[in-house]
Amino acid sequence: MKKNASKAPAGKTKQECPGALNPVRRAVAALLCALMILSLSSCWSRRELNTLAIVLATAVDEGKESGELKVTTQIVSPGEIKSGPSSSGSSASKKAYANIDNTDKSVISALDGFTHITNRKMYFSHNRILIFSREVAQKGILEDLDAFTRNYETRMNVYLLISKDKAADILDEEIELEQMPANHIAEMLEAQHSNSETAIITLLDFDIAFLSGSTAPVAPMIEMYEIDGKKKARLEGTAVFKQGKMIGELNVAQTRGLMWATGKAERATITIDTKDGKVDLLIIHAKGSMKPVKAEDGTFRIRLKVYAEGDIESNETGKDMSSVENTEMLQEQVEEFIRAEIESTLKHAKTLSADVFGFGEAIRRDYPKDWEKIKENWDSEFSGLKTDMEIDVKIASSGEMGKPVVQGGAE
Amino acid sequence: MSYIEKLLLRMKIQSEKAEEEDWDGEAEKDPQKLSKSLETNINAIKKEFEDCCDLVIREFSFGKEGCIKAALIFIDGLTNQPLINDNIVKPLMYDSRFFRSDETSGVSDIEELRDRLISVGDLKTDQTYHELSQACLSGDAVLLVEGFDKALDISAKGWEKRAVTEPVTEMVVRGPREGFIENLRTNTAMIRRKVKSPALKIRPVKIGDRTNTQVNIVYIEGIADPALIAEIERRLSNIDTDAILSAGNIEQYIEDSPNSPFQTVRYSEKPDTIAGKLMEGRAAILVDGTPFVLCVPMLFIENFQASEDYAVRTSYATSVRILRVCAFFISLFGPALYIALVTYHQELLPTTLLITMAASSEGLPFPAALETTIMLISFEILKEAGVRMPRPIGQAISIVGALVMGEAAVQAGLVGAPIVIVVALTAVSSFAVTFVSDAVSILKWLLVVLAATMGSYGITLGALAIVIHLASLRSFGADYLAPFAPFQQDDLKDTVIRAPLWAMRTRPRALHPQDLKRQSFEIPFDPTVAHKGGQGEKK
Repeated sequence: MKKNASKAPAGKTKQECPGALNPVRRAVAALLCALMILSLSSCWSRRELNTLAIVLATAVDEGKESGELKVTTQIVSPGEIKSGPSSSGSSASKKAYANIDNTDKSVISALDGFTHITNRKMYFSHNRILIFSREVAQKGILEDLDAFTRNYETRMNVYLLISKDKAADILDEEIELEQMPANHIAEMLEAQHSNSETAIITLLDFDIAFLSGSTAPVAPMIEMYEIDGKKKARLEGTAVFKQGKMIGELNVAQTRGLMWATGKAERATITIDTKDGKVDLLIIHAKGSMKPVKAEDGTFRIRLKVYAEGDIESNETGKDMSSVENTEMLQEQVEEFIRAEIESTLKHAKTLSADVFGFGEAIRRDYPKDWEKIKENWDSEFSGLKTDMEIDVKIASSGEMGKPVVQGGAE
Repeated sequence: MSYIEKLLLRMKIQSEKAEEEDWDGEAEKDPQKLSKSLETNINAIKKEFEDCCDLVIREFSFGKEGCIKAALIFIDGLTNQPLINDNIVKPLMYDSRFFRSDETSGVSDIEELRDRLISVGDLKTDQTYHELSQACLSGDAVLLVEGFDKALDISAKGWEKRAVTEPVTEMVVRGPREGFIENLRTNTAMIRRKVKSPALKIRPVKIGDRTNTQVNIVYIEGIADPALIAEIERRLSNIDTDAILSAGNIEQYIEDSPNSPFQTVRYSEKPDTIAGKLMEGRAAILVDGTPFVLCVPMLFIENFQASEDYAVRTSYATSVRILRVCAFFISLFGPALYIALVTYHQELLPTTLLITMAASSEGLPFPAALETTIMLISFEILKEAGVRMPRPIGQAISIVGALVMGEAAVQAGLVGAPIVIVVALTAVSSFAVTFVSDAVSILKWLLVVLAATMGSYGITLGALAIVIHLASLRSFGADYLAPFAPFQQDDLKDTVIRAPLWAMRTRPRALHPQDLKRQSFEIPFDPTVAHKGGQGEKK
């Protein structure tokens, strides 16, 4: 202000700038700006916690009539939540969740239909698992996945599962340790790192695999079984998709073969039948990588490298597993075991002509020009694709002792 | 002894002369000037102090056979009675009796009385009625003697004052515990005891036409910017009011941004804090009657500094500083973030937490924003009531507050448990940063409104507005956000991180200190070097 005054010619020091606003006009302008900001914002998306139906799981089954889908959502019933040690008395018997279902032509229209049967708005941001029944999966789930990918409320890290029977039954699983089956299943999936026998697949993983064009997406399978009169869910095997439709399954060993090859295996317990008896090993660290190698004639081979490091968990053989010869012998057998699992997967994938490993992606990444030529008939290329396996297993420790605690072990 | 006798005789003659001259000279005299007639003077004083029953006029005569008439004027309660009795009245009345009276010659001066008879340290001479009444009002005893148009202003200040105690507002675990009191001179003495140097300057100013409040500007010559002192004096002299009752009054007249929620004048109740700030190049303003000393310029980061930070070790001081910054953000953004999260951004909460919160918000009658507002207002009321109430009632209030508000409201299902936790955390956090808690308690409402209408978008806008406002603030020529904006790398040593004292080589540049260098930069003690050195010498 002072500077301006000194620069202005004499006698005009207090003259107002023509564009300047007086305080009242300035205040009005500020108020108008504030009002405009209000209209720009997400002010009307305000929602109170007790007006929301928090969806934790969604299951999609076939409807009674063909072409219809039955969508079941598991929503939290907050009044029954046991929080803290004090309130674990009266409401113990009541379920902390409610499963609501609606049947319509598509997933979206079925979800919209929920407004007719519940007072609360379905809130999908915390949806942790998405289960499709095998029948639905075999007919194709692309449309449904598109809806879940497109919606801004649903998340890409929702776990995808395929149920062997009715998907809605999974959500009625009887559990002891958790209050909600959805949380139980989601956390069970997260714990699968310790056995590497289940492919943990999120919506994002599935989308990436599908959109690559060549990779066959997979999803873990879940089934119900009965034990002591209680119905429980169990993860078992892997579903293989092609063009959005489920075309086959991998069993548990084949699933682990897939995990070895794609480098997703971390920990695993494997049992080796040696000629003297059984040895259990805990793989505590595993690495896997694939690399396409272009031969001179233009054909591709895939070089699979698997490295695994493990400890001996139990030893029934009566041999001292801390000795070098025995360890090397065992290492070879483990290598053979892993090779057999991968080969079994590879063989099954070829019969399905489904590139579950993502070999096509690996070639596209390293040889993009060649990939353009072969991608059109990738299915046949995949069936004839040769693989070299380099499997390296290291047994790091024999546990806290060398000689086994069995008869004759002291020899 | 004989000198005093001479003096007394001279004075007697003077007073006799004065009686004769009295009627001649009066017309030409300045009415403000003291008269030579004791009676005129006393009457003038009596008239000025009419209806002031605490004014004491002690008329007496001294010298041989009580030949000299005099009067001692003071205000009862402001003066030290034993001092007046023993050091003023007694020497005059008692000791002067024995003098002989055989020498009479020359002109005498009242100042000789000062030099020879009165055994008090601080004495000066007054010449006008105004000076005289001011002297009385500030606790001096004034001696008027017949025949002199001057008065002896004898410092006999002595009134009831509070003892030096530990200040309640700034408690410390380590570090000095004394705090300022309401007496100005005691306060300057406490600073002087910390900085024993003639470079510590104390400039007096009187403000308030009626209250005549003593204000002292304290600074260290050679460190403080002279322009700063000139600016303080200019602002103080611009104050045209009749009453200054506390330092807070002065603060409002001289601060840069009266409309800002943030204070731009720092206050402290501790001499060590003020001395430390003086050493950084600041100036202190002491106001008589207030235990709070003002200190300018103030930087934003001072809100997070406490005198104890410099008394404890670096690692701990730094962790406490970081904690205070966290507390500031929690107290400012806590309720707003809670509202934004539970009404707009439920997806940002972890699933388990969301379910727990949904469980506790089940069946609640109010929306989250209203619930937060109710709880915040209740807390503010409780806080205000607790501060003003006498201590025994204050305890009752805290019990009622904790039980009724916290426990019963949740049990009755009026408010959710999470909001009680949020409000409690906000409250506790705001107490961790006392200096900025006033600003926070206002600004959190702005953020609550923005969060309730616009969610995190609103919080971002509000935070932006606060940062812009902070960057625009200045305090006595210093940029409020310094050393962050404008950025000054060296000065960061005393911000969120409290560097070791020996590493703080320079004073803060934002204060424009005249002597930038505080010390030379050397790590004080390195045992390995000392050890090697010792070995080397032996060889």
